Amino acid sequence: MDLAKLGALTAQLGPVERLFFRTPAASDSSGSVDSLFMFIFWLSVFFFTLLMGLMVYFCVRYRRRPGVPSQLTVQHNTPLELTWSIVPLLLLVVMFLWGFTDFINARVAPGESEAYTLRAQKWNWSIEYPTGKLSTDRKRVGATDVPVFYVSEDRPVQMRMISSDVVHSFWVPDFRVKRDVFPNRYTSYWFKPHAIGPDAETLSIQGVDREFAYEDHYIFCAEYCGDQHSEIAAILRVVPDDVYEQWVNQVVGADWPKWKVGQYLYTTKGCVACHKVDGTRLVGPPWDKTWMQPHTFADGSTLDPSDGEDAYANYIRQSILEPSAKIVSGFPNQMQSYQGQIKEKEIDAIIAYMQYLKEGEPGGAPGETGSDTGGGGG
Amino acid sequence: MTTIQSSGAGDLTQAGHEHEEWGYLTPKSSMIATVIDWATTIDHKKIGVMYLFAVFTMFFLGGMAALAVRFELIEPVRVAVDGTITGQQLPRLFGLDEMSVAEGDQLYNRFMTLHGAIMVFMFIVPGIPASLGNFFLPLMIGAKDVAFPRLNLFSWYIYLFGSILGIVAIIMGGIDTGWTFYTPYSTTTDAQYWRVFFMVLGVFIMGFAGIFTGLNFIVTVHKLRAPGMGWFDMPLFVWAIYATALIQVLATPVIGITTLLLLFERLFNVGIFDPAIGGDPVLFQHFFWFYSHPVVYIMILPAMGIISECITIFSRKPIFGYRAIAFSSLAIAGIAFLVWGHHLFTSEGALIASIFSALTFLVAIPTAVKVFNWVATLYKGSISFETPMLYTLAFLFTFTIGGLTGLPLATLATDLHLHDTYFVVAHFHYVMFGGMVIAFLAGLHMWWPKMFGKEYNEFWARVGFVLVFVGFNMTFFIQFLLGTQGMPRRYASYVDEFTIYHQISTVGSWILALGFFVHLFVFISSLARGRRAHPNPWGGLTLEWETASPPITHNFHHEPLITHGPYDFDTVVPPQCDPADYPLPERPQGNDH
Amino acid sequence: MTAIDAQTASPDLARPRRAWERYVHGDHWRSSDEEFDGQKIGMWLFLTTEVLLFSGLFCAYAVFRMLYPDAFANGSHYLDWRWGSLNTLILLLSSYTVAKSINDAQCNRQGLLKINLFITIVCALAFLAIKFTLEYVPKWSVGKRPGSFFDYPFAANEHESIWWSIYYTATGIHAMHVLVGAGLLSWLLWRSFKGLYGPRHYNGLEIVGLYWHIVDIIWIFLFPLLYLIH
Repeated sequence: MDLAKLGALTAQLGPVERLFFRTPAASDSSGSVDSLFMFIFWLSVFFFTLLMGLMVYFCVRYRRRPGVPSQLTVQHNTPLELTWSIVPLLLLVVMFLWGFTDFINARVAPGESEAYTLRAQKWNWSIEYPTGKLSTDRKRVGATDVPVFYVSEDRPVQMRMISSDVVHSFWVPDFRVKRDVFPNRYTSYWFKPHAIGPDAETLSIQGVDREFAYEDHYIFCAEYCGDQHSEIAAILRVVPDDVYEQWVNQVVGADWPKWKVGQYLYTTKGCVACHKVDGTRLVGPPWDKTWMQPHTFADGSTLDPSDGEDAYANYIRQSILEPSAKIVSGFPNQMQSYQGQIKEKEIDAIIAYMQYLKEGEPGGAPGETGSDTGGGGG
Repeated sequence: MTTIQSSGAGDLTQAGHEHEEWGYLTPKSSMIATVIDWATTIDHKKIGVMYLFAVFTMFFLGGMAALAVRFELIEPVRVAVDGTITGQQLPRLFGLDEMSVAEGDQLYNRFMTLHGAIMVFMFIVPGIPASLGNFFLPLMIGAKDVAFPRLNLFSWYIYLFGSILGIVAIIMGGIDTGWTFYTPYSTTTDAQYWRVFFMVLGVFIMGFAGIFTGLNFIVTVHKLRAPGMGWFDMPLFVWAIYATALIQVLATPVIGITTLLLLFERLFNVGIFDPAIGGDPVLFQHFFWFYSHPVVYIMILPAMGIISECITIFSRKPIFGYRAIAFSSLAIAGIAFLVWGHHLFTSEGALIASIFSALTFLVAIPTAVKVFNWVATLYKGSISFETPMLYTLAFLFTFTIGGLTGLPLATLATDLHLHDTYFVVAHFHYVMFGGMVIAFLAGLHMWWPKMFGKEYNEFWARVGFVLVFVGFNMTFFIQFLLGTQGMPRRYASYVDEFTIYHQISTVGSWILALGFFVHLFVFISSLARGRRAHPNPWGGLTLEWETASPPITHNFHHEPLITHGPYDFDTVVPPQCDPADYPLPERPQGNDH
Repeated sequence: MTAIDAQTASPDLARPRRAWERYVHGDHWRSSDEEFDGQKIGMWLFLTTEVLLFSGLFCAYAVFRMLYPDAFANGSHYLDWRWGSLNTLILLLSSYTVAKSINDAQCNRQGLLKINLFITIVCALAFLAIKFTLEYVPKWSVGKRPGSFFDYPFAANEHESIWWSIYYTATGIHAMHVLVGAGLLSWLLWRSFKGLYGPRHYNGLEIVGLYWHIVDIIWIFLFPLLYLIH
């Protein structure tokens, strides 16, 4: 049974299905799960109507009339008990087997797939494409800018996922599959998106030579992970194969100035999830208000420009490796340490970026606040 | 005084002993003496009443938290280009306009956690067994009290102490771990505060109240039944409480060790659940759900017992399938321990997941069997629609929806989509609220005249019923659609597509709350100036209806002799009732059923 | 075990009755026998909960042993099987003396009853003393501690702190149960001085005796798992 084909058949949604799902399941890994759900739904409707119908009928027909007693009936009927135990059991066996088949389909990836690596952290997703490129594109969803991940409509993808801190869960509602992401071991997640529909919107982005049709799917975190659990989302963008090829093969950073590398790391390392660069506060202090500006910390100490540039560089470095040491007062002590996850050169680049945000290009105006490295937002 | 003489030699208690003839609620000579009497009582009825007030206070607190949660969700949170935040309700409510999105989310997460923790541990788990169970179990089997009355009082104080620790945690600022306390978030959040510690310690201590109550009930059912009452002469509520007690005794120690290890983890970093030093977060999930799945059956079995009682009394019919219902309670209690892994389908291996899925389907069968038997009981009955019966019929409606929506969750492939979404939230509210709370209200209204000797206002109770029923369905039915469409749970905000659904749900919660305030008003009025109740207003046949309303301290004047079954409505005129009001069906000549 | 009815044993009804003869069962029970039966069922149920509590710890042991076999193999080498065996023998002796004390009560040997209870308490305290002073303290002081307190410089395996966490948690919770047991036994000893236990009534001894046996049995399982298996 080719579940993917069966799944594609359910692509034409009836009105009730549309009420439940809005759009059809969009991946080969979804199998026939929409049909399975509707099977269970209609079965439930049947039994519910039967039971409630009987209940209402009995209540009306046998309502109490003064002076009229109830009637004698048998008080048990073993064949009946057995029937209404065994018949449902058989239906449940069908449900179980169907569910099991689709489950295995969702868990076991096909042979050849693109290998992505996904890292989850509080409160950001980031992936590494098979070519080593990191996710940098972002789009506004709800209250925050979330990462955009590009996938080809022609290739199956298998992701190896791990968390930097607590348990998260990667869920693409349109694919009907989720998988938990743990800090102490890898879990995997595969999908192969269905072809982009005929009336999809088009887009053009930096680094790709043509306008192309695309389909966006939400990615949500489905395991409570703390404050911004509602905001740790992402977009899975299905694009034509040649666009995908161009995207993942883009070379970044070969001739970038240090601050631009820092800006790139700002997104790929996940700093963007908690620090803004436009002066507004998120979970953590904004970066454009960091370099050479006065700070007061929770433990009462202070830092101001008269302490010199080295003091600021040290402060930034310490905040990356040992964030609890100096918490700016008014902000929570929430940041995880990047000890072991960041190189010295990368710390240098980040310091350069923060300096750039305050002072601009060496010799120029203060820096932009956009994050459009290697590709614009959608 | 005719007591059946006990067999023990030299039993000195009976000679010259007079029991009190007045009701258990009669106050003592002074206010202080009455307070001390209640504080040191070993009377199961008084303890049951104290639990009743306590659990409903907790329900109120948890309900307030729920209203806060739903209130926040009436609008999604958005940040404009210039940084202005819109859509945050709770910070505005508390005058904290400067809150960032993250802080606003955290506030929501605290209310969300408190709603869960208070409702589960302080309301719904002790819920029916501690209040109505304590009150009616000895009465229904013809006993003077439970097996260990002092242990019963001790359990009450343990529960109270545990709850107070939980309240302390709330006053200290609440916790944001979710009621499931998944590690490593629960072992690392709020590291500089004691709040999580106090709440988890409170849960640990409250567990003992459950264990001791369960233990008490098991021994009571085994040893204190009146002469002539065999196992299959017991009312089904007693079977339900017994099965519940079995689960309480066997499952609660596991949450005990789990919470203890969680506390050690926070205090001493022992590392069993902490991945940074080699521990395993999934181990916590297994430990946690090994208790927390059976606990949902602790919640629902007593409710099902109440439904069995109500449906027979209000249709004046013997229960259909007595043994099927009795054995299905035991079957549910047994299978309950085998299915915990269905909470971990997205985190565990494929083989384990498959086994748990198959076992989970098994538990649906005894549950369905009960529903079928209840509907069959209505056949050819004489059905009246007072508030207890309205709630009983509502139970059949809402619990069936809850049970049926468990099927896509037990099914592996659909659960991969629905796990940790609003579908699950709707499912468990339909079984926990639409099951347990609805049944609790049915039982409370049915037994209210017996417990307090006062009638309640039937008209306003029905108004409350309508508001609760409509409000409940409005709040939660739409959440099934939210779940399938892609809304995860424990979210403080959401994407635009879901706005209208959340708004409907929030308005539903207001109607639901209004219904409860109506009920509260009805109960307070009844206590203050309700009419004196008839000792058997509904024509029940179980032993509690043979006592006065409210019962005397020692329950019965004489030890009851069992002469009929609990559901022999076709052959027995209910005690203390006028036979003209309760005509018996014609018996065919020569037949003896 | 059935209660020997002292009244039929002695025809002299004018003899002043001792405390255990004057025992009166609870008002809600039909007879003393029923009450005793009920109390025993209650205690057995409570013991089931204790077994379940410890089974969580055994489960954690099994899981981590599977994950880190080297750390566990190393860990058990740190424990001195001789002290463990001595503690095992001490607990076995105490189970014997507590059972003997029940028999003494049944046969009205009030003196031996007190002596056996006393020996049981001494055994309990000896167990705790050996555990604390000869096992915990020496280990703690060189850094063999649970979780984040672990500070032993010669750890052979990086996950050794988990072994110590399991060790301290399991034996620590068990030791708390021994301490509670010692308290209950002392209470029984005090009551025996008031003559409250005898052939017609020895409920408390039986109930606490059951508890004490479970505490012993749990140790019988802990000992080989922690001390003996390599």
